Amino acid sequence: MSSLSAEMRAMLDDSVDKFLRDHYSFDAGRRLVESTAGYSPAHWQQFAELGWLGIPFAEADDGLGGTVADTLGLMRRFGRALVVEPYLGVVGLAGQAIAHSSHAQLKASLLPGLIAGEILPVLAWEEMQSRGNPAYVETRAQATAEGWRIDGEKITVLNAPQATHVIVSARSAGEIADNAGMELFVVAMDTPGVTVEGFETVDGHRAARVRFEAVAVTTAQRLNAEGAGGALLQRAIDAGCLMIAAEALGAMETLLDKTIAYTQTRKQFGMPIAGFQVLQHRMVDMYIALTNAENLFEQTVAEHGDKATVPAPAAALLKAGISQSARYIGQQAIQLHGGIGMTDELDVGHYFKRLTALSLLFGGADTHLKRYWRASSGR
Amino acid sequence: MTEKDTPDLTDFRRDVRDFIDRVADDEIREAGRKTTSFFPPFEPTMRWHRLLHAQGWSAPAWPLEYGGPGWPVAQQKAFEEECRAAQMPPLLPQALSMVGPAIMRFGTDAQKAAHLPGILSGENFWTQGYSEPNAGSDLASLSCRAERRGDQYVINGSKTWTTYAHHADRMFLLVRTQPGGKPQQGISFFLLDDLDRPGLTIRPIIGLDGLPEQCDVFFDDVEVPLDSCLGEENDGWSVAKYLLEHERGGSSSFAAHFRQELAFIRRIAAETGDGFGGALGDDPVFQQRFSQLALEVAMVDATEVKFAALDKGSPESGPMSSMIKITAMETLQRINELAIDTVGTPALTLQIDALMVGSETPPMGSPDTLTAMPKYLNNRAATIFGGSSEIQRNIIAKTLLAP
Repeated sequence: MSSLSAEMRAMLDDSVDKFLRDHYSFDAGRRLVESTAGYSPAHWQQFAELGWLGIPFAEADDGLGGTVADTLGLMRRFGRALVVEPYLGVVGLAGQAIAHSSHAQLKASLLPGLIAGEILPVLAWEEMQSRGNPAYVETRAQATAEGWRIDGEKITVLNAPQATHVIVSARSAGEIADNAGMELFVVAMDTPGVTVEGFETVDGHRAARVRFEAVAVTTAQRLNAEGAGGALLQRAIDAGCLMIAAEALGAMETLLDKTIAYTQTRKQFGMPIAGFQVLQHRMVDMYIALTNAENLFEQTVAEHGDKATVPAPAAALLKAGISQSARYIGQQAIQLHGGIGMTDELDVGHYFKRLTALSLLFGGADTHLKRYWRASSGR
Repeated sequence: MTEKDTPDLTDFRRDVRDFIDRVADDEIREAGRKTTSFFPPFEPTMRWHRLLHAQGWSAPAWPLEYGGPGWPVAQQKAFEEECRAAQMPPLLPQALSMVGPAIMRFGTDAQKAAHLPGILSGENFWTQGYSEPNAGSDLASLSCRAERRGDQYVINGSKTWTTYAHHADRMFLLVRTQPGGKPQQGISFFLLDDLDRPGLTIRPIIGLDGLPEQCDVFFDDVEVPLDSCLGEENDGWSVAKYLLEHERGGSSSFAAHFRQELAFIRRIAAETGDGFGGALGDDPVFQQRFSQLALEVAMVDATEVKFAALDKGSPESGPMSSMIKITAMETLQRINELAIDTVGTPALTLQIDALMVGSETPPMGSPDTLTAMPKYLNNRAATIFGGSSEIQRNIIAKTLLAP
């Protein structure tokens, strides 16, 4: 599942733990959420220096020579600490689209900068009507004398307000939900015709609606062979799904720990509320939801983590399972904390909101159960 | 209810719609659209309350003798449905549906005269001081205390989850007036007619949606008059329980509210793609989830109609109010969850500015989607406040399994 040595992975895990311990208390994280940038550029530089931005990239491209599977220990730790730096969007989504590009020159011009923390590309794929299906693309790429002209609108583009480049999916041919006929172009954020309407999300991250109006690009900015961007995009999103599964597990295990600790100290009716059987059973159910999701995650990664893509049926079931567990554990953590769990002051609500976001990103449970049915029936 | 008790509800419904069309200003309508919990935006909602009062409609469930319209249950329900369908903000329940009925039941003539007219008219707004940091589910363990000193009570301690205390001019609260004995004994129910008192501090608490709704209230030697007590001194638990039954079962017309939420989801689903070129509203999984919730709402409706006809304080009203609380609040949470799943990732956009009444900031995307996430977040409290779902189940079990 991993291309890095066990020692290397342990070293990375230790360095992430140490960094988060030193720099990422809950209060420190809240200050980043409230800052204009919504993350710490200084942290990002440290991520680069520690080698974290290069984990899933080839050594030839200045990377550490690992795979997406090697980022999962880091993502799980990020989930425990509610990290807001744009790792998922930049290293995960955009990074994977670039790393597996057939356009060697374009890849070589971008990856070293990404790994050094100098450029922050993001991936713009979702549209108002796409509901987690990356093949659904209304955005058009029309051939012009000089190259291509892009028109369309993308929603929930993760980390776009912080980005230097946006990779946009656009349709050059085919029907609206076809995998074929799709192009991925790398566009500098300051290109005329690109408008970024940035916002904070409920979980303290940043995203944007990005509009493309008569944006002129050349074929040299295209990551894929003509019409073949669909597979590359799906690969990047599947990588993102694995990464948010790891992050969600980190958040879920933290919430379960916090809930157990709280119910053991909170006293009502003259005893710790953890003594009530109804709450014991609830926490056991949270534990079962977490453990089943974790086991499915580990098995999926072990079987498919080193392949180009996780097969669609397995990827769909994993995302559906993670989304359901995230909902259940998040909701019950609030319920068992009572009123205090509803406050902005306590960290519990922030884990809940992050889990809510992770359950919706890249399609929720219903979407992925439908995807499973279609994929497993050969559609 | 007899035939002649029921006026022609078709005409009545039209009168309500006409009244709303004529009287509700833009800000009131905006407050209705931007309501994201059981507690709508304060100022416009209180203005709506006062406008309804001028028409004699501010308290549909109040008896005639206290200024209610004396409507039978079916008419009250029709009224709530029309108000919900027009997306009017629901009136705040603390005064009208909680302390109001308690004062009618337990108050002296002087207390009724002092408090009920202001509740009915919307002149006064009351906040509820029940929970404390260490007395939540176990409410009877409360420790905020009031001691007699001369011709005053002196209150020390604190209250929490006091909804909209930062807007309130009055407060009802439970205090311990006699230590020792069983926890339920020695509690008194106080009515405070003025919150601008030395030693009383109100601190808003920011909620999951990023806005203040709840507050902490601190009492440091706060002096209040001896006639603040509603009901007998040390027997406030009886008043508290009576009021909680109203809070749980009879505060509002849940079914009308939930049907409005379902209508909103249906509209979004019709406009939203399923990712394959069709509409989400045509997706069988969506349809199944939606219809299941319609079934749950029908059950809430049937049960709350039955509850409305019960004498509050009768032996069956307690467990039934708990049943309504569980069923309605858990249904609402599932409705709110379907709403965010229907909206999809646009629900993740934090839009605190756009949610303010009178805001110049337009919502991102469809205005229908603006409130989906705040409702999902805020209504997680619905199975916690007024006694958690776990506590409600305990109450029902006590009756159901009684030997």
